[in-house]
Amino acid sequence: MRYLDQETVSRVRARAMRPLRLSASGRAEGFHAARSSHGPGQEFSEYRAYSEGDPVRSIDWKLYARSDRYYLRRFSREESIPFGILADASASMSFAGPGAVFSKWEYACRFAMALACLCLYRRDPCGLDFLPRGSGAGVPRGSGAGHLSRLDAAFSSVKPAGRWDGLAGLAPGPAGGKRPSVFFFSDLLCGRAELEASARELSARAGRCFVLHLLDPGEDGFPWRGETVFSGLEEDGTVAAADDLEDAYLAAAARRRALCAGLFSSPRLSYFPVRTDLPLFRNLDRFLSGWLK
Amino acid sequence: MTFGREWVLWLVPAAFLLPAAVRLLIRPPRAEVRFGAMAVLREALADVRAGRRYRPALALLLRCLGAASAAFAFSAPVVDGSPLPLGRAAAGAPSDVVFLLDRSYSMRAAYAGSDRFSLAAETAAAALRSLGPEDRAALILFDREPEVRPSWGRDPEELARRALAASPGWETTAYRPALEAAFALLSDGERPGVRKSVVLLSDGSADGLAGMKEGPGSLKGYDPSFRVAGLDFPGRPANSWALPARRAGSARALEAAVGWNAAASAAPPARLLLCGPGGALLPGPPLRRTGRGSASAVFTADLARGCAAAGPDALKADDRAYYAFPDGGSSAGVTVLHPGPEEPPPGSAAYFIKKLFSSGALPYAAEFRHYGAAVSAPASAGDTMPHGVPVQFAGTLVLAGLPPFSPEAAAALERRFAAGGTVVAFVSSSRPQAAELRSYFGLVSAGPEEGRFSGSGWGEGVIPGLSPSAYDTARVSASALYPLADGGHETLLEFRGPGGRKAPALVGVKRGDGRAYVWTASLDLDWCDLAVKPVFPAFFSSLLELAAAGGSGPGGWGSVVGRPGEVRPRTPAADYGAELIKPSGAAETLRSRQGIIAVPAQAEPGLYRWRAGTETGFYAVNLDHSTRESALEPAASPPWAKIPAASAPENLSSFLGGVQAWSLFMILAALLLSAEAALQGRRP
Repeated sequence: MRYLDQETVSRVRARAMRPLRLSASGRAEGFHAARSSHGPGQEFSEYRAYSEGDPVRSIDWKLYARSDRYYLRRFSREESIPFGILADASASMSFAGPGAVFSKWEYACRFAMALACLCLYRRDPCGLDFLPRGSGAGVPRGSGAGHLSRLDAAFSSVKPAGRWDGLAGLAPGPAGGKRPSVFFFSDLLCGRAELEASARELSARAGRCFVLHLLDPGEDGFPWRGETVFSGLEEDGTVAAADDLEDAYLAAAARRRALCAGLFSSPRLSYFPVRTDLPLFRNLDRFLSGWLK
Repeated sequence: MTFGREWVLWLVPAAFLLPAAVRLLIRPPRAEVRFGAMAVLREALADVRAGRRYRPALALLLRCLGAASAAFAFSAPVVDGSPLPLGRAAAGAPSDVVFLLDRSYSMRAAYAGSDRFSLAAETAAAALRSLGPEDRAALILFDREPEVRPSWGRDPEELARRALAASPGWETTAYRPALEAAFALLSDGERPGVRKSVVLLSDGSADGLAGMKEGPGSLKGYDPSFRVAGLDFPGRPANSWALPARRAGSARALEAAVGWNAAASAAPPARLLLCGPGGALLPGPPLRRTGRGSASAVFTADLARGCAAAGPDALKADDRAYYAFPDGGSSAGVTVLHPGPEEPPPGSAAYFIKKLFSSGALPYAAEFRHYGAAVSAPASAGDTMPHGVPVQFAGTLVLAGLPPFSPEAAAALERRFAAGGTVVAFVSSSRPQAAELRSYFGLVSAGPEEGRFSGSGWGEGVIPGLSPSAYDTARVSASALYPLADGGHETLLEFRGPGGRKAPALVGVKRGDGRAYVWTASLDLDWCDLAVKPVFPAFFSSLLELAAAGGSGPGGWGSVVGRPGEVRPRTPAADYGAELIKPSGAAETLRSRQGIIAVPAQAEPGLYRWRAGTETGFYAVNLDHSTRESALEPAASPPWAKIPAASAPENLSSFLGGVQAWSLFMILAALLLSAEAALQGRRP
């Protein structure tokens, strides 16, 4: 696979098998918080005092022998959570700054494939969609064998192009049922209005949305020296600038990061900056650690 | 404010414009980047737009100002100080000041109702009297040379009195030795830490800067801490000057000339007056321009001595030029030497020449002498030909056949040539002449060549007045001639030889300051029939005219101020007993050696009289015009600070008490360039 190699698979598996610590509330388990649902599950959940009408076979007889009281053993039922990957394939994602190993798009593809691999280890179905609409064919949610290959093929078939103008064209989510959690990969390079609209849209559509903001050092910093003519990847026109613009640019970039962090931080939205000059697993570990908090 | 190197001020505008020109002409390459975060970039641009728009222009302005400040600093500006006594103005830093007072004759030029020298002397006196008790001063008078053994003066008042009592001389200007003397005095090292200055009280004559192309920094003893300032006289006054007269042309007429500077070009002198030994002026003919800034007039008055006068104008000292010719030197006659001792035989060159003179076809008198006769050794071998013809007094010397070589004859001819004399020579057909051609004239010939040579190739204008259309020159023929090796001579007429080959017939040779004209085919009838052709009188007359004009002719007795000369009396004087009587009437004993009286350098121009035994004569001493001192042309950019002469005492005190500001402007330049670097975001 183009965007998933054996080393990534091995490290994701190790991460998936690692004993997970429980949060104080005890709700966290695995990579997502299982919804508490008592039923014919395998996992012991709690004891409850027997009341009339309760099934006799649920009584813990060993406890009765020790306490001379009737208690019922209750079990929780694990539920799979659907995930969706939403990837921004606009032209600006193809940018790679000086010295960069991967463009933002390539880095996003690798990151998304690692997360997909992790989900599938957890038996959570995972789908894929692209922005802007028409950039490429998405992959329906699934978790079976060969699903990773389909996801990789879908990523490989897409070449970043066009201009992202928000989530207006995104297909509506399923009516009723579980709303998927979404990993949204984007460089968030659009107007403030589009960003605000996108934040609202994601809040409304997704169960929980993780906004992974791709940051290339060539854009997040200002490594350009001397007179430089910048031409837009998503727009016409050029801008001539010199290295004396560095301070102002860094300030503007910091403001933009702060704006994105503010817009995409809510009970349902989690903002996570991804610098593409860092190793993939360093970003992945930081992301998962933050997620589990 | 005064400037040590005022010429550098011309570089200030260039230094200011240079960074802008570099900025326009050399633009750094611009990188092109396909960029995603254009919105962030535009946002940053919007933030800085107001300041950024003017930042490059501001940086460029700072750079230009920095460069201009640096150039200004190199001009060594001196901020004027207060006209306080120097010791106090220097705030405890005493000064050593050397005053160089120019006493060259250009300082005699009129200025502000007086002359330049008076102003310079008064300026020196005022500055000397303003010195503080801690200051030290020296006064050096100079012209072509500084006075010997300059030293520090003990009493400034005494130096001031000495400056006021001095008077200008008659020598030309040379700044180099004077400045070196001043630098040597300042470099004595006795008082370290004092401020050292040289004040050049001169008119800044351009001619005085000879040998100083690289400025004072190249002079011996110069130290960068020395400050040098000179007077600056405004404008350039009109001036004309008389040049020594000379004998010129075939008639040996008196020709006097005048020169003038550019300021006088609008109204140059129209007449030049001639005066006799007593100074009485005689009206002269109108001047005829002979070149840019010069004219001459030919006088019919046959005065052997006197002066020529022009002007009056700014510098009266150069309005008279003196001349003194040897008695009898005005003779325009021709001396013909021929083999003797008998009368020239018919058919010989001398025979035809004598016949020509006796026919009255030529306007000259001729004297015929023979060189074959036994001649007693002359009393002074240096002054006469072996046959007793005084070399320097002869008009035109014609050799009708070359005399046999002798060291005396060769030396006598050499002296004649050295004195600017000319010789017309015809080779002899009766005996070999190749050795004489070589020894007398430096012409190389292997020997006579026989053949049939024709004058058909003579061209118009080679010799003035000799036209082949008027005379059938093709009928001139020669049966033998001396072919000459190429080089060293100018061919004036050519024979056409067998097969059309050309052979020189008449050549001109430059020898010393004189010239020789040599006929290679002889005038003897057995070699050439020129003498019996109708063209001969015209040919010979033209040849004499050519000879008369070709050399300057024997000059008069005299020299220029400050240079020695000599006098050669007709009667060789004894080695003692000669004397020179100056215009003032004072007499000076002269030394005579081998008949030559050595006249030492004289300090004043004028007509001197010499006496040796019973013979007397005149000796002219003139100003040295070779350096164009009379042009009164100030140096365009002298390598010292200029002090306006109009208020010289005040300006000089200001200069001496002033503060050198070059370091301030260098600091300003560094600050400006640092600010520019900071603005550009570079490390200074």
